[in-house]
Amino acid sequence: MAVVATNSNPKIASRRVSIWDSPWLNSKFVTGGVIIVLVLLFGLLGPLFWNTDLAFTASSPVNLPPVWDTGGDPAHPLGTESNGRDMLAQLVVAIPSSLKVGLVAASIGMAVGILLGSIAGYVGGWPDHIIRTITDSVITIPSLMVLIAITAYVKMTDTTAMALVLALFAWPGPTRLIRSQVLTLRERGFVRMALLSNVPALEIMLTEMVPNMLPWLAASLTGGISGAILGATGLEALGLGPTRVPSLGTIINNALRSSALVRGMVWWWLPPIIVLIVIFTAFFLMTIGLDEIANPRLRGYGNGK
Amino acid sequence: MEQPIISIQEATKVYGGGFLASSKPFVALDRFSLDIFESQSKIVTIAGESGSGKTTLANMVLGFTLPTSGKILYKGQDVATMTREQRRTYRKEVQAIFQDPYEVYNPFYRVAHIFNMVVRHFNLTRNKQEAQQLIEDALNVVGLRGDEILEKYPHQLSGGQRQRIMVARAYMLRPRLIVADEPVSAVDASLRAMILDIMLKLRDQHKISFLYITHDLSTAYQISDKMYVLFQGTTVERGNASKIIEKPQHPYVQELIDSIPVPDPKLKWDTNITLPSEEVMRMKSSVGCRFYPRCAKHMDVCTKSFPEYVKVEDDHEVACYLYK
Repeated sequence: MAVVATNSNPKIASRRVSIWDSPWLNSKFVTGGVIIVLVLLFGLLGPLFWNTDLAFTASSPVNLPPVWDTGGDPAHPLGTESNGRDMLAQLVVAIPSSLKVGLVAASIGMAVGILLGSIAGYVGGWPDHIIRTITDSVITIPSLMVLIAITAYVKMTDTTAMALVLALFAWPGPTRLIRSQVLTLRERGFVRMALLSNVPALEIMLTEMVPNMLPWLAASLTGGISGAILGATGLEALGLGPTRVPSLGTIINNALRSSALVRGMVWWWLPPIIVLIVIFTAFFLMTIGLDEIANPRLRGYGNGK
Repeated sequence: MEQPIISIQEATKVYGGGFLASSKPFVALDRFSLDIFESQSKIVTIAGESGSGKTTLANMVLGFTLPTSGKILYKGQDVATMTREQRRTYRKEVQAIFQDPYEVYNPFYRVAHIFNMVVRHFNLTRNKQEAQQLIEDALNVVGLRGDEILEKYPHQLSGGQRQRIMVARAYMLRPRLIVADEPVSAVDASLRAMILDIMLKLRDQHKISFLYITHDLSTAYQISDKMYVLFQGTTVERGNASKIIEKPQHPYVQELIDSIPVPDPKLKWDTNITLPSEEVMRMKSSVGCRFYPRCAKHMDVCTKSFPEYVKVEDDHEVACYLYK
């Protein structure tokens, strides 16, 4: 948020000591954000340092252990698996694709949520009744089961298709959140002032309400991304994901199908799981950090950060 | 006859009690009528305790809630069924000041935002200089200077400054009526006098009428011309403000005025309110006089139907069976 700069009165200007005083510098939020950026950099800069063609079948020797194990080969530092794919190359390709699925699905869910939630909250009346009933019904559907059914029929060619399928169940949460936020904001004084100033409804929504919902929207988005990644990974681990592009869930699926657990090929199934744990932890930290930003009461006393 | 700028005709607001609703309907405002004329600027006080329907009335006049029955007419046009163009003039001419002078600012923006919104959406000026001049003039009326406050955030201003800015904002539109919903309840005593002073100035010099909503009878006595005392949604006494406060007729209004503390330490404040027995207190009357359970002078006839307004003197009416 902007910090007071144009201030002639030094006494008032000093109330906000510096930009480091911002609530957005919440330690949980920043930690989570840094981890995500690091994971993302690994995926984005990886191709510059490592040959991603090694992620495809029969590009490398099979069943090599990682370099620190006996028989390891420095050409394949994290080892290779039974189909001749290099593990490091697979991770480099899989991380951005998994994050992309999460981001696309959550963004679509968010956009639909903003649209439906605003209509329901602001317009009220029968549109609210209809939207609320549908949203509440969709929330009760066990999504994984339906997703399994859909992905079993729809041929998954790439990650975008996967994201679109996941978006089918990513919107009810944001819709409910935004509806409730709009309902409370609608009664706030500044919204009434805007009404009295003859500001049209859409502008009230965008300039008066949305800025005040930002932390909630951001928290809902990070929560949505990790939810979508979880859903995508689950489907892929069951073998329902796109088969050609490696993703974290697909690696796990391949490992399961080749009995990597029984064969003691820890380097095959463990790395994607570690990456997933790191990603989920980071998004969780960001979500609760944003929650504290949005809701100062959660920050507790004294430790404002 | 002149057309009133705002005409409230038998406005009633009932909350709840719809089809499938579990709660009983709650009557927030019951058949309230009032006309405010443009030619004679007046401060009309709506007085009453919490839950008496004051704010419901303010929200209806501002078009935030629609009456369940009855009508709110702006220059003969029903507020509920206005075209976009009509709504614009109505918004321009009927403005408001609210109780909480912090809530009305979006914490996201500087103070200037509140003025810019008004200038832009009512096309008040042709260029930036004119707009600046207009804002500066409005701020001068309430004793503020633009360079002191416009670039600040609302939390950097005092409560009094914030409330005066709201008055300036309303004044900038040159409205005919300002609905002031408890404008001085959240500011301290010296600022209270200042804001009331500004209201009087706007009434006399700029011919702006006020619908002054308050629970504070002493400020009502100081500034208002007409007064309506509400009790649980019904108007119990109406007319000239000084006459009502000096010679209250309705038992409720008498009680209310007796309970104003006198700022004299030598006087003992011993208002004796004799309340009837618990069983009677619990009786709720939805057709008769609402004050019946609390009234020391209640009669059987009070529960039958709501009393007619009796004219006790010129410009002073009361709804009570004691006066026939």
